[in-house]
Order: sequence, then C-alpha cells, then structure tokens
Amino acid sequence: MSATKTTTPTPPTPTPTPTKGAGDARLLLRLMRDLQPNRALLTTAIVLYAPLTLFGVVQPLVIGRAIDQGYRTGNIDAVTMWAGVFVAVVAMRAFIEAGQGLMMQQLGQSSVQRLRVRLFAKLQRLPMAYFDKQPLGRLMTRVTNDTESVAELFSSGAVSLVGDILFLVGTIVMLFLVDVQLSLASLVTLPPLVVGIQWFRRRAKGAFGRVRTAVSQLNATLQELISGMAIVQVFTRVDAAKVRLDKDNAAYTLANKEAIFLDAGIYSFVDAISVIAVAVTLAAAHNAGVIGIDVDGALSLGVLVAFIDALGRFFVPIRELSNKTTVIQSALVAAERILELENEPETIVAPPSPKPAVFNRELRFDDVHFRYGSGPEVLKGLSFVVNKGERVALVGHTGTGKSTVVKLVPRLYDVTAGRILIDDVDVREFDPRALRRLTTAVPQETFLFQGTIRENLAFGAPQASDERLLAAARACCADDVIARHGGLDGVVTERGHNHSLGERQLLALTRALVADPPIVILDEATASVDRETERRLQRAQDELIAGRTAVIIAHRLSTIEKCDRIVLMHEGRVLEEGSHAELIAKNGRYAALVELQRSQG
Amino acid sequence: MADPVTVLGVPPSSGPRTLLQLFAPQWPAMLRGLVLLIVTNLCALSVPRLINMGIDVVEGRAAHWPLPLPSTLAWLVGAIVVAAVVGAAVRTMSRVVLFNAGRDVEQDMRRQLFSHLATLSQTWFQKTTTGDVMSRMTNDLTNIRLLSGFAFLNALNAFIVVVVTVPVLLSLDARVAGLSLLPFPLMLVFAQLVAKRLYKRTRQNQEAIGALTSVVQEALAGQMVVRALSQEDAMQKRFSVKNDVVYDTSMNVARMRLLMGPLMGLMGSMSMAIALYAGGRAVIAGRMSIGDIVELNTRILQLSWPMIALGFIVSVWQRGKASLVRINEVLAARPDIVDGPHRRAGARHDGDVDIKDLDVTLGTPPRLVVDKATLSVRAGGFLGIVGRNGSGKSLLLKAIAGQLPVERGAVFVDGVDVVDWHLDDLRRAPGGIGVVPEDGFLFSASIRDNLTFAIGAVDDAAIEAVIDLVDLRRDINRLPEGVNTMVGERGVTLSGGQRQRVALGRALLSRPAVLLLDDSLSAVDVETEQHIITALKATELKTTLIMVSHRLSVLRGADEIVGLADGRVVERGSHLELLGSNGLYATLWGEKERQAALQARVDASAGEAVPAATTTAGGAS
Repeated sequence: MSATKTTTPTPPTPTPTPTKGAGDARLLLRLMRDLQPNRALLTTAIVLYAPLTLFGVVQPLVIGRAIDQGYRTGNIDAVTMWAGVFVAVVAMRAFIEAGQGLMMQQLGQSSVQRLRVRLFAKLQRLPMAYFDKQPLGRLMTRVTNDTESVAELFSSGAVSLVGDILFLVGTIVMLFLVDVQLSLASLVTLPPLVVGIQWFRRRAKGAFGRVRTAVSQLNATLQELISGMAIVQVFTRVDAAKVRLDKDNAAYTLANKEAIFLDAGIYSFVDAISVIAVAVTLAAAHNAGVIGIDVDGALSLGVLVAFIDALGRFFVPIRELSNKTTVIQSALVAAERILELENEPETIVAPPSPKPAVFNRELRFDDVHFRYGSGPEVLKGLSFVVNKGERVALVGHTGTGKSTVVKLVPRLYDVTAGRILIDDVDVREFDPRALRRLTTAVPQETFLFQGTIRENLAFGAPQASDERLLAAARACCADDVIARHGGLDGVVTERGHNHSLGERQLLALTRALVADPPIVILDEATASVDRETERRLQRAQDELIAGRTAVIIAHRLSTIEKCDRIVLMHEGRVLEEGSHAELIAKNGRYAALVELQRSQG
Repeated sequence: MADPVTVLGVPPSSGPRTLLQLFAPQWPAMLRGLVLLIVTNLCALSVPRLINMGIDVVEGRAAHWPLPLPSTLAWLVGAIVVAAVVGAAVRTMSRVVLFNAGRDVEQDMRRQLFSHLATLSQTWFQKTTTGDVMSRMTNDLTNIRLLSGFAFLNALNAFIVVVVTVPVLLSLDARVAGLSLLPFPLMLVFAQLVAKRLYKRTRQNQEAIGALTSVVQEALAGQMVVRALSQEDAMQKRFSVKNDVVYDTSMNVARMRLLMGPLMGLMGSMSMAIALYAGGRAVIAGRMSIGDIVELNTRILQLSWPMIALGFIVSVWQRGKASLVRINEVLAARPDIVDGPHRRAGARHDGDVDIKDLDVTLGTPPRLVVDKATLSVRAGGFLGIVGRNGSGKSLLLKAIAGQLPVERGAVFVDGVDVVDWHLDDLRRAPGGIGVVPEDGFLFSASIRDNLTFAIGAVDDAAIEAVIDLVDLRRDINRLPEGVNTMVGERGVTLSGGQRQRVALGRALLSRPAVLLLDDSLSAVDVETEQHIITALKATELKTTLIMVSHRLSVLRGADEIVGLADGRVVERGSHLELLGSNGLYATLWGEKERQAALQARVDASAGEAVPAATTTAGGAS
C-alpha cells in the first residue's frame, strides 16, 4: 500500500527568473574566474593577440608598398620582395591564429569541464529535500546543456571578441597613421553604422530571447505529447493536441523568422556600409589628388589601395556580430542559471570539527519532529531507543511516518526539531559520510545502477573481493539470480530493468550486506512478489540483520515476531512500545493485531 | 515521386516523402529566392569593377564605362552607393525568402510527423523511446531545413559567383587570373574533407554528451542510494570519466575547426600573394592597371566563401538525406489499429462489454500472453480482474479501449466488434470509455485543466463534485492556488496518490459509459480507495466498471471477479464464491490481504484514536 512514497507533496516551484540587466558584467567576470587555474595559458593566449593583430593590420600596408615601390616604379625585385613579405606575414598569422585558437579552446573546454565537475559535486551535496522540489530534467539541463552553452562561447569563437576589438582598434590606428584625410572622410560612415548596430542590438536581445523561449516551449510540448500519446488517444484529444502543437510550432517558426530577418539585415547592412566607405574614400582621394610616389605627406596610389583593402577587412568582424550575439546571449542565460544552482544552500554538511563516528551503546530518537518542505508535519515528537545489538520493529498504519525514519538516521533529511542521537551525540555533529558508514539505510524502492552485477553489489564497499560478493549473494539467496544473469559480470541495464522486481530486491539486500554496517535501517518491501521470492526475501533480510543493530519498518507479522522489541507508531508518535510479550499483556492495539493474525492463521 | 499528384505539391496524407515532395510546396519561394539571389550577386559583383574604374579615374586614366554614362568619379561613387544599398536590401530579402522557406518546410514536416504519430498505437511507441522520437522531430528536421536554407542558398550562390567571376577575372588577364586561382580547387577539396571529419567528430562529441547525460540522470535518480551507501565519490569518478570523454571529443572538434579556419584563410591569402606577384609583373608590363589589381584582389575574396561553403554542402546534403531516412521510418510505420465503419448511435454507449476467446501474442520471440480469455459485463456492472504480475490483466483493458490490436470476433463493446468501431466514437466523451492508467500521467497544466482534459469546458459544479468524489478536496485546499495550481511536468509537484486521483477525476468528468481502472489507485491507501470506489458506484453515472487491482478487498463489491493466470481465465465468481473455492483468488487473498485486514482490524480496535483524516495517501510516511 505504498508505491510512491518517496514523492512528497510540495508546492509548485516557481521557475527561477533570472535577474536582468547589470548582471551581465558580473556573470562574465564569474566565467572568467573559472579560467584562473590555467593562468599561464590564458596570459599567453592574450599576449598572442598582439602579433595576431599586427600581422592582420600590416597586410594592406604590404600591398600598398608593393604598389608604390614596385608597380609604379617598374621595380620587379621590389614586387618579388613585397610578395615574399606578404606570404611570410599571412603564413605567420595563420600559424599564430591556429596556435592561439587552440589555447583558447583548451582554456574554454577545460574550464567547462571543471564547471561540470563542480556542478555535479554540488548536486551530490545538496540536501535530498532539494530534489523533491526540482524536476530531474531541469537539474540535468544545468549539468549538460547549460554548461554546453557556456562552452559554445569558446567553440563558436565568440570569445575572440577580444581579438576582434583589438583588430578594429589596430586597424583604425593604422588607417590614421597612413592617411589622416582619408580616415576622417571614411568616418562619415560611422554614424549610420553605429545607429544600425544600436537598432540591431535593441531588437536582437528580445528576438533571440524569443527564439530560446519558443524552442524550449516547443520541446516541452513535444516531449509531453509524445510521452502522453496513449492518454491523448484514449480520451480522443488528438485534434486538441494537434492544435496545441501547431500553436507552439508556429510560434517557434515565427520567432525564428524574426531572427532570420535581423540576422540577414545586419549582415547586409554592414556589408553595404563597407562598400559605401570605399566609395567615400575614392571620392576623398580624388578631391585630395593622388600625387606620384614617395612624396612626403602626399597621398600615393599604393596608400589608397592599402586603405581600400584595410577598410574591407575592417568590416568582417562587425558583419559576424549577429552570430556572436546569439551565442553570447544564450551563454549568459545559461551562466545565470548555473550560478543560481551554485548558490543553493547546502544544509547537510559536516560541522567544523566533527565528532568521531562510533557506535557502542544506543541509537536514540529524542522528540523528533519532521515535515517535508512546507508540507504537514509527518513526525510529531517521536521518541524511542534502540540498544546496540537490538532489533526493533517499527509498525503502524500507512502514513504514520515510518518510512521517514529510514531517511532521518543517515541524515538524508534533517529533523525539523528534536534530535537523533548515537551514543548521546547528535547525528548532526558527525561528518555525514562517517555517519553513513555506521548506518546503512535500505529504502523500500530498490535502485540498481547501470553497469555490472559486481559493480552493483560492491557499490557500498568498492574494494570487496568477488568471494565476499558471492558469499553475501549466497547468504541472501541471490546466487542463482546472479548465475541466471551471467555471473558477477552480468549486465544491469538502466535502473535494473532487466531484472524482475524480486531479483532487484534480493540484489539490493545483498548490496547492503556487502556494505556491512553496524546499524541497518530497513524498510521492508511490500510490493507484490510471488511466494517463493517472498520466502527468499525473508531469508535475505534475516541474514542482513543477523548480529547487527537493526530498525525494521516491518510489514509482515513474521518479521515483527523475530524482533526483540516493537515500536507501534501512530500519527508520527509512539503509541505502544515493548517486547512482544509485554505488548500482548497490555492488550492494546498490538495485541489486537496478533489476535487477528492467530484467528486467521 | 511515382504519383504525379505529389510532385505537383499536394502531399499524400501519410507515408514516406522524397526531398522533392518536401520542397515542392515551397517552389514559388525558391524561385523568388533565386531571382533575388541573382540581383544580389549582380550588385555585389559589379562593385569591384566600379572601384577598379574609380581608381583609374583617381589615377588619372580614362575609365571605361560599359554604359553610355559620363565617366566622372561622381557617377562612379553614386553607382557604388546604389549597388551597395540595392544589394543590401535584396540580399536581406533573398535570405529571408530562402531561410523562411526552410522554416516553413520544417514546421510543415513537424506537423505531419505529429499527425502521423497520433495514428500509431502503443505497440509502436513501446518499441521506441520518447528521446528518439524527439530527436527525429527536432534534430533531423533541422538537418532537412538546412538543406533548403543553407545548402540551396549557398549552392546557387556559389554557382552564380563562379559563373560571373571566373570569366571576368580571365578577361582582366588570363595568365594572372589563372595563376591566382590555383589554390581554389585545393580549397574546395580541403573544405569537403574537413566538413566530413568535422561532422564525424561533432557526432562523437554529441554521443559523449549523451553518455554524460545518462550518468547524471542515473546518479540523480538514485541519489538516495548513493548517499545511503556514501558513494558520492565513486559517482563523482564515474561522472568525471564521461566528462573527460566530453572534453576530449570537444577538443577534437576544436582542432578540426582550427585546422580549417586559418588554413582556409591562408589559401585565400596565397591566392592574393600570387596575384600581387604575377599582377605586379603584368602592371609593369602594362597589361593591367592598378585598378585591375584591386579588382582581382576583391574578387578573390568574393570567391573564397562560396568555395568553403561548397565543401560543407556535401556534408549538409548527406546529413539531410540520413535525416530524411529517419523521418521516413516514422512515416512508413503503418497504424496497427484503424478506424472501423461503425459510428455510435446514441449519445452514450449502453456499456455492455464482452470478450470471447481473446488471444494476444506479443514480443520477440512471439509469446501468447492472453490465451482464450473470455469475460462479460453488462451495462452498469462491476467486474474485478485479479492475477499476479504479467498475467495479462492490463492487456484485457487495453483491448477494450482499442489500444491493442486484436483479431475480429474477440472483443465487443455494446455488441459491436471493436475492430468495427470508429475509434473516436468508441472512446469519445461523454458516454465513451474512460481509462485510468496506473502511472497517473498528467499534463503540465493546472489541476483544473487536467481534470477537464477529456471534455474541455465544463461548469464548476461538475468539477467540484468530481473533486469530492475522488477525495481530493483536502489536498486541493492545501495547495497554494487550489484547483488552479500547476502540476509541473508529468505532475511532479503532486504525490503519486494525488496524481492517481486527479487521473481518475479526469476519467470521471468525461462521464464514461465504461470505466477501466488499471490498478489506478495503487498509491492511495486501502480505505480511501474503498471509499472512492463505493462512492463511484453510488453516483447516478451508471458506468460499467472494470477494475484491475492488487487490493482484493476493494473488489469485494464486484458483481463478478475473474482470476487470470498466464493469460488464461482460471476462475470466476463473486468474492465469497472464490474465497470458498480455494483457488488463485483465495491464495492471493491470503497472501496480500491478510496484512491489510489485520491493520484495519487493529485500527478499528484502537477505536477513537483513529481520526478518519489521517489515512489519505499522498502524505509521506
């Protein structure tokens, strides 16, 4: 009577709304900070922008020189020399470009690699209560998709923005050095360029944002309609489903068409400006009058050609603005969400100076209160003691909070009020990991991991030998399960779906036995299995608790009768407590329960 | 393609498509795009010549207008500006037209795919995963869209640029042009090689990300076990191993890109270097002007991108074709359950259900999972079905709801073979068939929208009545926005028991003539389930109730209970008859219900201490 008790009713989580505006700079800084461990590489990569810019900027000058010193004077040697210089410059630039690019990539990818490790570790430290509130899909998106968006910054070349800016500044400086008059003239194109880019930036922010929203909305709808197709069909809502998909599909197309227009518009616009800049330069040069060669302060034809060539190169990075804007925007959105996860408080952590985790005397629940999130109180002042070596059965009605006990002892959740004590030390004073080596919780829902049977059995004790694993399996009647699935190397598929429910439970009990903890907190399985499997499960369970301190959330009377003491829970409190004989003598609830068992027996 | 109608742009209602069929509806847009593209290129490709002439004028040489216009710089500058402005406007339009056409193809294909999916039964969906279908409806459609946008545009563009530029270059000076163009064929070949490898490496990278994703999914889903056994570090290690593969494959992609970018640039630059050298000799020899050299350089730049793009088109084309195959696999799947001719005569079914000698064979290798099953319920009756896991209980319900392909002559609703029923009429609310699956699948909408899913608008009184009937009143009062609370994806914000009760409410609001419950309240406690079922039978909604349950006590009120084992009906009768017969039912009763009955007795014996409110499922324990 308890299929899905791990799901807790919680109020719907509001979708995190990223704080807009001033955060962008902060986010970029935060991303930059992740590059710190590779500081030497980062410095080298940044320093290399200098020769990269230089070799980019001088190319038009070389062409200009070839014209002035070679073409116009008929000096073939000069032509040959300058052509040689040109080859050297472009080869050097290509070489540095590749090397520097590789460094940037390595920087970016390794920082993203570290970021993922950090996020995953963070998730493993967050309290279990956090997982009750967050759909799994969303958390997975943080670790994979969002980090991938940040990585895109590097792989798409959006980080080369720094290089682009250097190149633009370098080119402007070069243009002014070459000829002030032409430079001033070509400045005419600057105002329309700035106005155009401003217009684009204003619209791009909203438009690309709408594309992102439309994509995730469409994917969510598709996912839901495909996985819920049986329901859609059986309630004859196929037409309604089509209308719903059409709406999101059309919104997605529309958002993308807007982005297409902006993308094509800004590209063509910048392209046009670059051509007009050349026209303006020609007109200015014509007005100034081009004088022969090598006359100081005068405009030569070579200089004009160099100028036109440089103008053409100047606009290339600006033309790519649209692509880079998209990538940077989605990276910022992703970074914002990652940051939010990183700032999530970790509530179950080791205290500054943890007490050594030892268990010699007793496990005590002292007036324990507990609620899931903001839900109703599940435990309302639970107090009981388990002495070392004792086996205590927790019995009671569904919904009285028995299964919660399993999660509280190893601090998967923390009590809301009251204390849980091991040898009079509050469990919150231990390092949680040390605590969990003392106690193994076996939740009712078994979860096996993808991999081999060996990996699963040795999950709690990775160094365990095959002999030990097989011995434990024999003790738990799981040896033939293992044999049937190809021995310890047998494959376990996702969540153990290639094993039956009973097999999974036997393997989970074996896994707990291998972990060999002093305290076992066991939530007895109630799911429907056949009688033979049930008999084996009983034996496996007996084997697991033999010689240990055990708290068993018992559902079978046979299990209860094997325990030293019985704690009858009701409404999150202890109603009756004592040995089997004591409780029978008391003639209360427990007695009634046993009487009924006998009358049916 | 064989069918002339499809080529003319009217796609068939379903079935595989050829690329021609996909793009056929877009041919006017493609044609418009082509014209615009030609104009764009005429503008763009005229600019180098205009600049050439401008330099000639500046240099003091006679510019050679091809048109009868004054050869003054004012005219030339004007012409350049006009070419730039017109070119930009037309370029924008051409991209918008062609890329939008690609988006339209994508949108249309997605709609068609979904319509086709909606005709397929669960038999097909069980053979695949949601992720796989999703990938076909997103990534594969993207690849097809790129064919029309990226590939079509760039192929045309490259064609126009090459056809115009190469003769013009040769006309400037054949020898210089020929030498300068030497690196270009190399560029084309190289781009193609790179594109192929880049695609392969990108795919490896995506696979690595997929593997990482499944580790994260498993670690998070099994986090309780990970922590209980203190295996966070081991999990972290597993994660890191996959994460390192992601890093390696990302770097592989990066290396290929970094090989391409600078190398392509270098080849273009080499072409310019050759032009600088050979052109210089030609200028000195008087065969070319300096304006010609500038034109040569500009045109080399204009040729570079189309060459690189051409290399990528091959790869885009291959990907597009592969994606089309994957999409056609879906479109080729034939529905195994189709509409019959029989329409529902009255507003509601009467509610008679009969199954006669039903055989169902499933799986590979094929196995007989339902073996000559026979059962009957009359209108308004209550039939219980019991049996161990895998005995075929759920299949019987699916057969009745038309969710399972069956032979003619085996399953009847209101005396009509389900094979003959028009599926919509068989199921349609109100008065159709209501189904409540065990998983309580909900949509990410409000509770109200989930409840009214099957019927759309309904008055509040009906909703309120159903909320009380399925015992959701207290749960809803506790929620921040009551019945308008959003339930999150698949209803994650509700407990299992709450989800199941909303799913039951959804079916009840559709006022079904036949209600099929497949262990539908397994996460709700016994008393509440009992209470709901009793209340349900007492309503004026005289529904035929067929109920599969592991909780035999709930089935005590059934008119008849059928015991299933290995797909065969092994016994039937009332609760008392079956208990007396000492068969499967009696065994199950003994095994499964003793404990529940004991607890019920115990609770009763404790009397006053048990307020009825405490037992509602959904509370955690």
